[in-house]
Amino acid sequence: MTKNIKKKILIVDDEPDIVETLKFLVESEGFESIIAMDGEEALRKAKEENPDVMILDVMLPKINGYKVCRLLKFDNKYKHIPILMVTARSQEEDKVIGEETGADEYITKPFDINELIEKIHLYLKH
Amino acid sequence: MSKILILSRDLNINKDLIGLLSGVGYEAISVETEKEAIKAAGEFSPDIAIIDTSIVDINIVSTCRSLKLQNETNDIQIVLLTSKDSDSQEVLVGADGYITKPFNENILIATVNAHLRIKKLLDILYTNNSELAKSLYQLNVLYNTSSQLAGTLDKTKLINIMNTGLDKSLNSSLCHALVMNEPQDATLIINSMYPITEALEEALKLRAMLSYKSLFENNKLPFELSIGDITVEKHIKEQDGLFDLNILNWDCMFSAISTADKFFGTVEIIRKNEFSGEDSTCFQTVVKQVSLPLESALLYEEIQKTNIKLEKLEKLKSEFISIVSHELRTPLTSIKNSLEMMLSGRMGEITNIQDNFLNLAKRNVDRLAGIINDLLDLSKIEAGKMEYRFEPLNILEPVKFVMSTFENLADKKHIQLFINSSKDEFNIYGDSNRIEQILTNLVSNAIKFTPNNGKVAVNIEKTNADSIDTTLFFNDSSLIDSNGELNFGQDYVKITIEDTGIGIKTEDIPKVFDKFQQIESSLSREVGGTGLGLPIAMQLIEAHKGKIWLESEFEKGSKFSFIIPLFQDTRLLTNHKK
Repeated sequence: MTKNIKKKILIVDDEPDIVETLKFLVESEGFESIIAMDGEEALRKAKEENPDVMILDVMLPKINGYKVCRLLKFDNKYKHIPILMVTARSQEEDKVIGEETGADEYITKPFDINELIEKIHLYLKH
Repeated sequence: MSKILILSRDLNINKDLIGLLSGVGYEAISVETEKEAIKAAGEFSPDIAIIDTSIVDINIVSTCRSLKLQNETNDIQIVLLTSKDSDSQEVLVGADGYITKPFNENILIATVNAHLRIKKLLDILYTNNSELAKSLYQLNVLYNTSSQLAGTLDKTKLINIMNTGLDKSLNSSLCHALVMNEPQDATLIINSMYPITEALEEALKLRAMLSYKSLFENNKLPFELSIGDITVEKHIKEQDGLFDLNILNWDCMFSAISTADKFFGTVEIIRKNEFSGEDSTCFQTVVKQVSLPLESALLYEEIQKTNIKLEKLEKLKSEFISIVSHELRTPLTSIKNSLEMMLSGRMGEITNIQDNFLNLAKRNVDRLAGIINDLLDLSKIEAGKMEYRFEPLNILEPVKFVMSTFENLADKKHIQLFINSSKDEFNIYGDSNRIEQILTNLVSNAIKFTPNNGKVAVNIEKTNADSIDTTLFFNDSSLIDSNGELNFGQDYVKITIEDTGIGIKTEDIPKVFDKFQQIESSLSREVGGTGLGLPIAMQLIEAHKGKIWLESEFEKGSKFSFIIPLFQDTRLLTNHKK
């Protein structure tokens, strides 16, 4: 049954160019991509679509990535979704961090696409 | 005119004495009772009192004492008029001189004259004494004032201490100081015994202003000022009086408050009694004494302002770096990902030439990302925001790991890598990620600056604080006390990264740990780099309580050495094993 259904990757970033490259990358790997451009949309789509992996940027409009991550990871219904947190290591990020977010992996911008693909495969196997 | 008081019930004596004394030019009055005598001593203030001891109903001894006490400042001379036989010894005690009855007129006048001379001398002595006491008091006030002045760097406090000092030492009625703050901003501080009328306040403003301007007559004023710029601050001591314009007719002293090159304001004191030469000296001294601390206060203020400015700049700098690096990362991510996706063949076949240029672009994007990381790290370290995860670790592990990551790069240049360790274990208390960062920076430099077919060796050994030549340490502002920073007898692990590279000229060695400093050479342009690797390594080593230094021979090779304290607990453990 799982053979026919494509794995779903939720891409969350407010930067259209990054979303576009990630979408191309994910689709060229044979996955289905779902896009969210802000924190609210990310939460909604994560709950509606139940993705297999989530690529989540930290600095997002409305609700920041750390909070999105926390909200999902502390909810029994959604805590199984692997979250790859993408950070630009900015000072603003340092301010919002400080609490446990529960993210599975942190990836620093600019990241290597091969590493990212490797990590997606790794979490799909879990 | 000398004044003489006569106390006697014998009217003949009274008459005779008054006649006799008036005859030689003295003012003489007579009284008949002790009470009248005491009253006269206060009002008439005689120089001499002549007491007839034949009055039996008064106690001569206590009368003498009462008369002397009546006017303390006027040391009255008492001459007793005694009869030859009647008086007991004790009656004679309180008096200064004696004449026996019946008296010889010439002897009486001679005795009175002698006592007048004594009286005059006593007066002079008294005046001198009181002047001495006043000087002592002034000195005391001066001393107190100067010690108070030394205790503060607050401009307002300094001026207040000066005013209080002047007030106490010179007993002034009114003291006003015009203190310049900035052009078009001055304060007139008035210390007054009594409240002052509005007219007087205006007059004082005008007076201070004119005095100020007169100091600089034709020269440029240190502070541009008009009367409207003056704010008045009043300190009134007592309420039961009022000063009006009349006090401007009293005696006054004026001075500028200034040092050789700084002007702070003016001060004037006003008093009803005339000021003496000594008062003037005292005034000048107090004013001079306040000028120096005022100058210090000004400098202190400037330093504080500069510090605040510097802090703001420092904060701005680190914010700038943080924002810039964040803003740079995002577009860089898109570029890097696009290049990588083209290179991966996901977008179709690419030719060799395309592959070459895409790789070139990707290499430079990676380099740019490295620079941003270094910048961010350095700004974090400098702001004290770098977080370390210290734990006991064997430093050989990060050494082996870092060397393994450079195998490919070294192979390309046919450079041989060596690890020479005297032991299998060197435990330190450190953050393994940061140790890896230090080693990566040092080893990548060594490989970068070593021509093909060279060698890069990492040597690890134990050393002791006592055997380290601290003169080799990189001595920068923060490290001047290098010697003192090494714990006496402390054991260290020393790691030396040695290469057969281009080396560094002796005069350039001190520069290598400076930020953005790359020694100019064709090779450094060829190999690139941020110039931040070494300063970052140095800061990270210092965060581990370590030191780094460099020995190098131009065109032969460089030797970077750093030491980190060996983990104490482990050392104790090995001692137990023995």
